[in-house]
This record gives sequence, structure tokens and C-alpha cells, in this order.
Amino acid sequence: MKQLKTVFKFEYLGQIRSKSYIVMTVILLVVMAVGGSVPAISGLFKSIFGDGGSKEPAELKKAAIYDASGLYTGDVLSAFLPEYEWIALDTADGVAERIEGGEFESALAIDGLNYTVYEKQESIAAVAAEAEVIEAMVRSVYQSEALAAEGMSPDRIASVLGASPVGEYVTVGKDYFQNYALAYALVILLYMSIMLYGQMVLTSVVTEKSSKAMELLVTSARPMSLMFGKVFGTGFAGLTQFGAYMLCAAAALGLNLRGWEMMSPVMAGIINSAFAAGILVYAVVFFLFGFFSFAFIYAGLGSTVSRMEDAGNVTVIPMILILAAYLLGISSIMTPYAIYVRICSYVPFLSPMIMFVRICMTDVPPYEIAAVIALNCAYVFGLGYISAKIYRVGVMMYGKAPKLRDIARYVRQA
Amino acid sequence: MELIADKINKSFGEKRVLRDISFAVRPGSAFGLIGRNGSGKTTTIRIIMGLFPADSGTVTADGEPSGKVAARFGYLPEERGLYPKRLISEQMTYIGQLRGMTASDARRRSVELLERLEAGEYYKKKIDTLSKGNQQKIQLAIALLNDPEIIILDEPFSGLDPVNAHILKELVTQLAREGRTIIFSSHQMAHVEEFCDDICMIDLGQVVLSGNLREIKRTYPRNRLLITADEGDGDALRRALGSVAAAPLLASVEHTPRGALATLRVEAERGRLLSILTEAGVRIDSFSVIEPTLEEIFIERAGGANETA
Repeated sequence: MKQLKTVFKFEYLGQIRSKSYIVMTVILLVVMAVGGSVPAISGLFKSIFGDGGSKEPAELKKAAIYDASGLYTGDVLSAFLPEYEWIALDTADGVAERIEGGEFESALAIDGLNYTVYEKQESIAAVAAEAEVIEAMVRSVYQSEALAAEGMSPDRIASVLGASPVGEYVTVGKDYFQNYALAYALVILLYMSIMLYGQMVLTSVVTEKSSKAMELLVTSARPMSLMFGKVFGTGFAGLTQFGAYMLCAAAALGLNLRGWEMMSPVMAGIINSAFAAGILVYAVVFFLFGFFSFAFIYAGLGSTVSRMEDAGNVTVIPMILILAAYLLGISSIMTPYAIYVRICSYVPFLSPMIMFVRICMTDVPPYEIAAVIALNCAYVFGLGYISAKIYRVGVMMYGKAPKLRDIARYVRQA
Repeated sequence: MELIADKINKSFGEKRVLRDISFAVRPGSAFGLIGRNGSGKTTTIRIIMGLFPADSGTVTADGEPSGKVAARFGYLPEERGLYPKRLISEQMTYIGQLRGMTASDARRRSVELLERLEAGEYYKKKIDTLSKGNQQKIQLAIALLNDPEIIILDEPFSGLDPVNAHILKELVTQLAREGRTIIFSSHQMAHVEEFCDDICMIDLGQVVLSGNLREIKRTYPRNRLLITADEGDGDALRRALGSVAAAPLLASVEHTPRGALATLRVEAERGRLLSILTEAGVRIDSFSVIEPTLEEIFIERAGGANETA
């Protein structure tokens, strides 16, 4: 136990003092702090440089209108298309040439429900946005005129045409749309973290062998202490980093929650759902299961190779497993209720991502969560036991990278 | 501490690596475990250290299984290396703690040992900034960190320049004087010969020669002589060795600038040859038996078989 503690401390301090760890942590913390504080930062910029309201009103663009009916008064036009200064035309003839000549930028010719827009195609977005407004204007004027012809008072017409339905959606259970983005972001974070820290364990084990430090270590400590100390030390370093990210993101988003509510209600909804159901706690729990699932495999398999170049040979299978878990995790966000998602959420090496997605997206009964956590605990312990057996024999093996059947032999030998 | 290996056998898969290896290392002596590359030396040491068990046979240190008391051993592995990116001070404290020392004891002892090996200035450096010889010194200091009773040195002189080799020799001599048991594993016979009282020679996983080095040498014929004459008597010596009286006694003669290397047909004729030379008026400067070197013995015993691994 004392040896385990010594190895743990050595590995943990080694990881968190390494330059790459510090640089990566600082960069991501800054990104998270800045990203979470966007409303505060944009507010700060507004207070320094002034916001859009205090700016000079934009210069009006010149547009021409030909309207045989005379219904399109300046009031109507500026109500629908306020950014234009309107010039009334007596005829639509030669409009295109006048636009080309630069007399005005665009023109509108209206005859009842038929209208023609003349403009240079400078921006697809501008054309598309205005097309809807113009159509609404033409429809509104036509309907008002038709209703007035039926003898309806202008007030009544305004109240009928101006009426708009007020709808409300009540989401039962978890909000799919809000949790979609959250689950997506956290699954990517889980995948990257598990991959990264698993790789750290692998690199650490293989480096000990390739630098020949292993020979000295195995004669100074029990292989079990070395392996478990290493995995726990690296895992804790990962957890420290992962926890720092979570805290930083939570603090930045939490402090800026009011700002987000004003700036982007969707984002505020995502933040609230992240804080609400203990999602971040589950993220940490499933990070640990995911990490240990792969770190033990990496430690065991890493011990069997002597050089970093050979590590690829033995880590193909765990790499495929991680990728499969990630891809299934992402696809299960789209279909969180599918039966295959439910089944996969019980498969240990897949469940850290898939069960996590289910918890994010759906209401998973507590007994299912408890069952999956118990299964993962058993799996991680079993895996640790087998990996330790491989490690015990593997660390003494030098030379060419072993085949799968050699590794099976190591387990029997230990 | 007395170490006894009794009929240890080890196979890896189909390959039998050690066959009935037995030897005894007396407390406070320097013991040479010698053999060609792949002969089974490192496997024997790993069994002594308890890294893996023997298939059969035992290794005991003062009556206890050696693996159980391996914490009292110091080991300089043949495959040397440390963490390239960590400070030497950190690594020495770490290894010391793994061997049961407190952090402060490990630090104090590390500094003390490095000073003794004239490597104190490297304590706060990284290993990959040091020369191979200095890395070797650090490794040796680590082997001695826990003040071990048995010190196993696997190829300790490889990579050392003459100055560093001299420092190491002095340290080993001192350790031996302090009554520690030292096991040398090497194929550099000159060094083993210089330090070791007893040897065990392994070839193809079997003991081919074992015992006290002086006694082993005495079992070889003592018919090779180095004869030197006073200055100016070189020709007289040459004539006397070629004379009718001396020539029949000699199997071969090889003349050197100051004398000759002569091999007698019969070992017992040594006295007779000396009297022939003195009667011939040669002023003899030295007349001594040349013992076989350990290297010669090694080549004779282990040189014939092909290397296996």
C-alpha cells in the first residue's frame, strides 16, 4: 500500500508538472472562461465602444416604386421596408436602366397581387429576406383593401389582420433540443479525455520499458503497485484537469447566466439543464469508468512492447473500441430511445458514453443507472486484475511485439 | 549474507534457459557470475531478485527465499535507464521510497553517494543531459541507496572510461572491505579476475565451472614459464634454451626482447631447466610460472558452443 501511494504520488506529480499538461490546461481554461463569459465580454465592449443604439442611423438606400393603385403610401412602405427612401414613379418602363445608371438601388412595381422587384443581385440573403417582407406587405395591402371594400372599418381591419396566435409548448420530461447540444459537447469531451489519458498511461508504461527504467523499478517495487499506482496517478491527473475544466466552465457560465438569458435563451436553457440534473457529476463518474476501462487495457498491453513504435500493434483493438463507443455515443444522441442504445448502455466499455447520453437526453430510471454503475465497477475491477497479470509478465519481456496469443499466455503464466 | 542457489531450472515456453544451476556466495566475498551473452546470467539474477520464480530449485539468502529479502539487495541491472524527463533527485528519492526508505533518508543518502562517486553536481539535473559514464554512476548510486547487504552488479564497467572505472573499482573494493557480498555478472574477464574470489561460469544455461578462482587456476598445468635475463644476457639466455641440454625439455619457446616464454613438456622439469640456465651462466632476472588468465579459461570452457540467444 505504501509503494502504491509512492508510485501514485510520483506519477501524479510527474503528469501535472509536465509542460504539455500545464500548457493544455491553461489554454483550455482560458478558452472556457472566455467562451462562458461572452455576454459579459460583449457588454464590456459595448460600454467601451458604445452599442448599436447610440450609433448614427444608417443612411437610407434609395428605392423607387411604381404603384398604379396609389395604395402604397409612404407610411405603408416605411412600416414594412424602413431602410429605404422611396421615390414614386409614373411608369415602370426603363426602371432597369435607371438602376444600372445608379439613380436608385432597386425598384418595386406593384399591380394588385402581382409585383416585380428590380434589383442588382448583390447578396442572396438580402433578396431572400426582403422577398418575404414584400410579399407580406402586398398581401396585407390587398387584404385591407378587399375588407374595406366589404365595408369593414379600418380599426376592425387592423385588429383582424394584426391578430397573431400566441402558442406555448410544454416539454414533458427532458428537453431534447436543449440537451442535444449539451450531450454532444460532453460526449466529445469524454471521448477526448478518455483517449488522451489512456494514451498517457500507455506512453508512460512504454517509456519506462524503452528507457530501461523498468528493470530498476520491478526490482524495487511489486509490479502490482507499479501498475495500479501509475493508472490511478495518471487518472487522478486527468480528473484534476477534467474537474478544472468543469469547474471553470460551470463558474464562467453560472456567473454569466443572466447575460446568457438576455443574449441567447437557447444557451441559457442548455446551461440550466447542465446544472439541473447533476449532469456534470455523471460526466465525472462516467469519465472515471471510461478512463479506467481503457487505461487498464493500455497499461497491460503497453507493458508487453519494448518500443513506442511497436505500441500501435497492440493498441489497435482498444482504439477501435474507443472509436466504436464514441460513434455509438454520437448516434445515440439522435435516437436516445432506440432499443440498441438501451442495450449498448449496459455494455461496459460502451456504457460510459452511451449511458451518459441516455442520462442527458432521457429520463433513465435510477435502478438502471445503479445497475450500469455496478456493472462498470465489476468490469473495471476484472479488467484491472487481468491487466495486472499481463503487466507482471509483460514488463520482463523485451524484443519483438507479442501477438494476441502470446498475451493470453502471459495471463496464464502470471 | 550468504546466498545459495540450489539446482535452479527455468524454461520459457519450450526453451530451457537454466539447467540445475547451483552455486554458493560466501558472505563478504566478491563472486563472479560469468558467461557468454545469452548464457542465462540475467535470468539467474532475476530469479535471485524474485522477479519470477524458478520452475524448480531454490535460491536462499541466509536461509530465506531470496525474493522475500530482495529489498535488502542492491541491483545494477544490465538494462540501465531512468526517466529521461525527471530530475535525478526526484528519481533517487522515488526509488529509495519504493525500497522502504523515508523521503528524507533517501535524499540524504542520494547526496552522500553521489558525492562519493564524484557526481554530486548532477543531483538536480536530468539524466539525459549526462554522459554515459555519469549516467552509470547515478545508476550505481541508486543500486547502493538502501545500504544493501548483497550487491548485484550486472556488467558494471560497460561504458566507463578509465578514470570512472577506477572510481568504481575503489568503491567496490571498499564495499567488499566493509564485508558486503558482491555478485559481479560480466563477460569482461579482466575485471572479474581483479575482484572476485569465487566464480561460477554458465554456458547454455548450465554451470561449466565453479569454485575458488585461485584453486581453479591451480588445476591447470603449471608448465608455462616466463623467463627474463639481466640486461646484456638476452643472447646467453637464447643460446642456453636452444642448447642440447635444455631443448629436449621444452615443447615450445617464444623469444621476447627481454627474455622468453617457454612451455615445458613435463611440469616437473621446472627445477632442471632452471639449473641448466644457471649452469650456462645466464644471469636470471625472473623465472615464474604463467597461470592461465580467466579469459583463457573462459574461452576454453565456453568458447566452443554456439551462442543461443
